[in-house]
Amino acid sequence: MTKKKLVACLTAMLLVLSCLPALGATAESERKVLTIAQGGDISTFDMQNHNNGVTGAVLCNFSHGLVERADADNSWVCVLAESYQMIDDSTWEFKLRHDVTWHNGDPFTAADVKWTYERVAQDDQLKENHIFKIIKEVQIIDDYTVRFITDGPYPTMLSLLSKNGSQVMPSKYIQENGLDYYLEHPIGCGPYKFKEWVKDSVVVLERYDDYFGGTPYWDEVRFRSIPEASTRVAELLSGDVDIITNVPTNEWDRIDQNEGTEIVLGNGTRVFNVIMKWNTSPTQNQKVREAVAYAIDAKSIIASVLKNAGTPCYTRIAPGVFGQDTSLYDIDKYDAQKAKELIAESGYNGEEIELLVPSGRYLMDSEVGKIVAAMLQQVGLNVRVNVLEWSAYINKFNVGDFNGMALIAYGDDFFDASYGMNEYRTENCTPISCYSSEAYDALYLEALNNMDPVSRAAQLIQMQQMIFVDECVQAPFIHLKVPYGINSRLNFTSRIDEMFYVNRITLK
Amino acid sequence: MGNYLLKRMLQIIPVLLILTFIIFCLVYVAGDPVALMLPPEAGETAKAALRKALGLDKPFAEQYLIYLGNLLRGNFGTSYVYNQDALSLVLERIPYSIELAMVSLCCSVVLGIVLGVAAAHFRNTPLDLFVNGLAALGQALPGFWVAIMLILLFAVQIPLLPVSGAGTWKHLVLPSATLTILTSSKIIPLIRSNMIEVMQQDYIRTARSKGLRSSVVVFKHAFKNTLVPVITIIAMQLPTLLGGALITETIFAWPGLGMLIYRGVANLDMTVVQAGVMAVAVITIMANLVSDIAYCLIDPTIKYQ
Repeated sequence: MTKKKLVACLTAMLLVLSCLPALGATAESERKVLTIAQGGDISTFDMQNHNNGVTGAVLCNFSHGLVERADADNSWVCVLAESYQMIDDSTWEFKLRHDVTWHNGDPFTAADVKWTYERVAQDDQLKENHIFKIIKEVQIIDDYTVRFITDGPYPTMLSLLSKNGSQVMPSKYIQENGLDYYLEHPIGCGPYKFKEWVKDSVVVLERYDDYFGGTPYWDEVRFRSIPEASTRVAELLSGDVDIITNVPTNEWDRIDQNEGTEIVLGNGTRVFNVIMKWNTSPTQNQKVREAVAYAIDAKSIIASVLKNAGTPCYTRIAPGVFGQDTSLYDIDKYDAQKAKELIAESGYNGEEIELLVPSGRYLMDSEVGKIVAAMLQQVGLNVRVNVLEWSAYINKFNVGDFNGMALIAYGDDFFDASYGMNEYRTENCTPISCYSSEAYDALYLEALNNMDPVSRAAQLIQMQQMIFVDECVQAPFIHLKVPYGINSRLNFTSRIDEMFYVNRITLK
Repeated sequence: MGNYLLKRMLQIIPVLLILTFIIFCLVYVAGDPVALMLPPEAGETAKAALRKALGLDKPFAEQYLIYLGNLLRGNFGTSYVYNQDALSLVLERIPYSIELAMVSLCCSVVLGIVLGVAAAHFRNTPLDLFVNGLAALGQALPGFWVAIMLILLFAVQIPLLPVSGAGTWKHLVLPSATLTILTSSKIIPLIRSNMIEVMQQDYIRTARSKGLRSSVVVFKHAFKNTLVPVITIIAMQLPTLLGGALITETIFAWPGLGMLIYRGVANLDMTVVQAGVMAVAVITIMANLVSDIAYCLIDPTIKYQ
């Protein structure tokens, strides 16, 4: 072949090759693909064995529970159930939809419900067992009617069946193929079916055309795992990702100022708390604990470090959670002078108090912890900050290995105050804060079995007053907002449970 | 040589056994994995129940013996996080790590040799100074900074390449460029100094006096004798790139072994940490063995008994 002919061939090949990506792009650009980047990977497709929000945010698009929470007001809506009724204090009956199919075409029936919930209630190795074990039995009345029998009166059944980790699993498919096979080839009954999972990289779901709720909006949904926050931001700015989570405050301006992207602050349930030891000096003195609550200037922290992404509060129960004491929310009790007076009255002798603080777990957690420590020092407490990476922190926290105080931001995916207030029972306080009150334990158990929502709400409020006001066991101080970075082409409304129901995220 | 190789292969077994014990101890004392499996709101009763169900309430010795017994039967255990066989998790990641490591290593070696030889050949010239400066800069710059700068330049400001992820050759460019910059900066000074030493040998003087071209003297006679330290570097860098490129893997969301081991440590997922570290250990030992063989091939005066 002559040199000229060779050059001509090579040029032609290059021209053809350079056109190929464009052809692919044209086909690709006609498909509606949504890409969401979270800070971690999902852990499993086993609905009741993960207990983390990252996994839940994916699985809620892959399968459904009997009931779910509405976007707007967090109320319950029937999804796999058509209707429900309480037969008696321990019995709930659900009528199931007839038109639901699993992604392999099998019909969804009462057998799936029975298998799913009896499994999680009985298998103590599953991470959701501790909360589902209240279910004694699931009775099949007919193919589309089930009854849940609980171990005693259980007023929070709908919270249980709508929480993260309550999606139903395909019993026939798993019984025929085994759980290991299901985990490699999962099927659900939601709008998006499994396509691919490259661990620590991406989960890809594609549209399930026979979805009972109508044709899903997106052709494909990609949930990417990008641990580094600056990388997530770069992906958003480059346009390769549509939504990112856990955006640090120092990137908000950059995202807002970039054309085509913006920050959306949503509501969540996390509340920053200072946990205080009940059984060691000086925090065993109530005046010292009250001084801590008065010394924290929540509004300043919100305005500075958190860029107004928060609300001051004195309860760990956030709005949207049943039984919240609203009198303790969005109020400002900061009073440094009163804090100093309480410390003087307490007889505090200047001994060192540790403030254990996590790093990289919550929004600006280590920064908030350091500021809180400085505020406490200003009122006369000798506070030493100990900032630890999360796994090191939680191991010390869980065994109560801190000398005085710890900062934490509790969440709530149960949306009933009984979940959060459970922590203050004597059996759960040991060995963390070591708080113990027979009166509180008795009130809690009474509320746990109280089927009347009005009086139960009053009991939950009373519990918050006992813990956060009367005895000041802990000092909650900021209810955090949740920052999302989004591509402005989207209609996006955040949810209080921080889940992404992608069918309701649409293009403008 | 055959006996030597057999002895080296057999040495793997006690090394791995000691390694499993050390890793088991380290992860055991690091804390309670149940604390990371359940949310803080779950309560102590729930945590105690899960601990018991997973056998994590047993004494240390009992837990280790159970683990060792399973290991000797080829069962590496199940990940607490993924609820999947730990070895299969590691094997899923190894291709990604090997891909990134091999590309980075090849680029590093080529770049290191080219620049190192050039700097040696043109010693004490501006080129030599420039190459030395580049190598020093590469060693001084933090890896995460290099990675983020490359992302900002070539993925955000000039959108030529993807920011992160894996799947196509384009995803490989930025992470391997990061590792190449960091690794080649270690190779360049070594090649340069070895070349300078070799070029001063009598046989090189003889070759020059015979009237051979400069390129023949450098590449046919001198270069081969600088390869011994290069092989050493490759053998040392390979395990680092395979299991230790954690920062690069994290920034580029590259699903490699480094990130898996890190997540295992962060979640106290002992089976995954064990399986991952053992994989890196086996690869390290094999790499050292291959380098020993390569020494013999390059330098016939090296013999093993």
